Amino acid sequence: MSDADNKVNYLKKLYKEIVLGFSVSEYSGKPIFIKHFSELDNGEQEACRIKYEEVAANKGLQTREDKMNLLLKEGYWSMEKETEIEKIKKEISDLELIRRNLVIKRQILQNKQKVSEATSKLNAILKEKEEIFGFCLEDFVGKKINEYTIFNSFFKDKALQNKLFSEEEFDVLTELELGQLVNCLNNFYVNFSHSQIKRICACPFFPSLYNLSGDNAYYFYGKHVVDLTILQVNMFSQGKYFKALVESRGQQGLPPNDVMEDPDKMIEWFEAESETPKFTADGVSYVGATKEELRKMAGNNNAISVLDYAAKKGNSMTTKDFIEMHGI
Amino acid sequence: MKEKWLYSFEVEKTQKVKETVPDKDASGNDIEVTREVEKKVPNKFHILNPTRKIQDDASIFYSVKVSEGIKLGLVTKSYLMRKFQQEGVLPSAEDKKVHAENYSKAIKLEVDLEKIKQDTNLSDAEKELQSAPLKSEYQELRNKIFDYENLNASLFDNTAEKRANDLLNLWFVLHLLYAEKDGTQSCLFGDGSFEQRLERLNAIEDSGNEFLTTVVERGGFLIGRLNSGVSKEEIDL
Repeated sequence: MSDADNKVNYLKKLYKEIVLGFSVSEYSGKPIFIKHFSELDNGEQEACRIKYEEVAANKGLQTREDKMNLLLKEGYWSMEKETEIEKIKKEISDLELIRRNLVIKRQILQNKQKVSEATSKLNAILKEKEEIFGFCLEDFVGKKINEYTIFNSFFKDKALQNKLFSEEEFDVLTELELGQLVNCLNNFYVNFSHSQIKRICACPFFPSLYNLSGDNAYYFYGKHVVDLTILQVNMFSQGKYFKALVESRGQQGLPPNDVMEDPDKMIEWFEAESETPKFTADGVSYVGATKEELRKMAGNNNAISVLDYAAKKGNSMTTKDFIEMHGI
Repeated sequence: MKEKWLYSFEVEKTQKVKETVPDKDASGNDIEVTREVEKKVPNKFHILNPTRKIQDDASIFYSVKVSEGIKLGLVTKSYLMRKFQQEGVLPSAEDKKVHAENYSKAIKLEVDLEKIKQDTNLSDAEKELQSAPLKSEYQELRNKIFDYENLNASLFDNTAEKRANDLLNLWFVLHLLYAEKDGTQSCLFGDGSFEQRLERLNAIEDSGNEFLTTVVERGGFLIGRLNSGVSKEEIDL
């Protein structure tokens, strides 16, 4: 079996799970069923968040904001440090933005080094802040929401009717047992990341099925939109997007067969279709770039060094020649 | 699943119990006589293995008490830590290294002493002979470890975190100490808030009830040990 076939078979399994609305895993040697959440489930989670916030507030647990006010008042924290955190975050974000436009290896490395230094600095301040602020209302709510997600994700049956644990049983799970469930859920989320959904939609079997639905989610899943899981919605939307990209090519049609058979190549093709980097200016130069890097930037073999250009001009270049070389 | 109890123990209580003993009546016939006698009866107590909900409540309680301490004007541990670091009061890297070595040596000696104790090929006299030097070395190390830990702990005695931690230990005693009666277990301090349970503890202390005072002292000691990471097996030893 080819590499592409293996990929497709694996993605077919994920496709099946998305359509069914649950995944199967194992716990203590027995099969367990992981529910795929819907937007309605997310709404329930939000309701719980409010409930937990009330519980914590009634017990006197401070919010981060209240704790900050107390610590500022008592002189254990300062607004300067808050400003410093924001400043470093902005610096990192700017550097990462700049890196996207860099092509010269040395500059990329320098940029990465700066990001790494800024990140270390940021982590040190955040660690100090965490120690000083301690356990706040938001931490408690976050912890409880995680537990709520774990509790409501696992079922004993594929009909998703019987939870794996009663509330009492869940409350006395050991850290090890809880850790196993968290691992199980983490693997599940990795399997169904956005990139995996893209890969499913890029499989050769998917468009055939999708096209039969006539862009109608009800025909595709046999369920009303409100009853769809978030993964089902995401997969349908992604399928629709890919279909639109293919259609936008008009007469040019589909990519070659070898691309269509491999979901990863198909994604590359889709991405190229949606982004298509176009270098319209012929005369651009970058100080410090190697010839290889210039070629990469030019996207063709038109890169030429100043020396080569000068040789063409009889080893003597006027200002006019420079302007010409840059295509101005 | 967690075991329900972290630890169980018994405290003897002098109680009046009915005792039936064989006897003879005036005519010399065998009879059974039942009378009330005072006897020491073992009463069972348990330390609850905290559920996740109890652990959450404990985390909230601790955090609330830290904030309360700060409002009261106590310094924070992290502030003091940085101050001590700047002033060079904290133990040096060398001190820390020596402490860690002492700790490892003490654990190794504990294991060696246990091996000697369990060795069936040795007579009691031989065991005593072999373990005596190890015991003395062990005691010396324990003293060094205790001094080091005591000194470092005392640096942070007046912090908001230390106060909160002391209150947390009390919180655990008030929530985790269970008494068993007729096969059913219930919290020794009943239900309710920390303050309500604390009132019941105060009532026990004020009552002068020796039995209950012993239970609370023993329970408090055990909870403190278990909280500081001492295992059930170590406590038994």
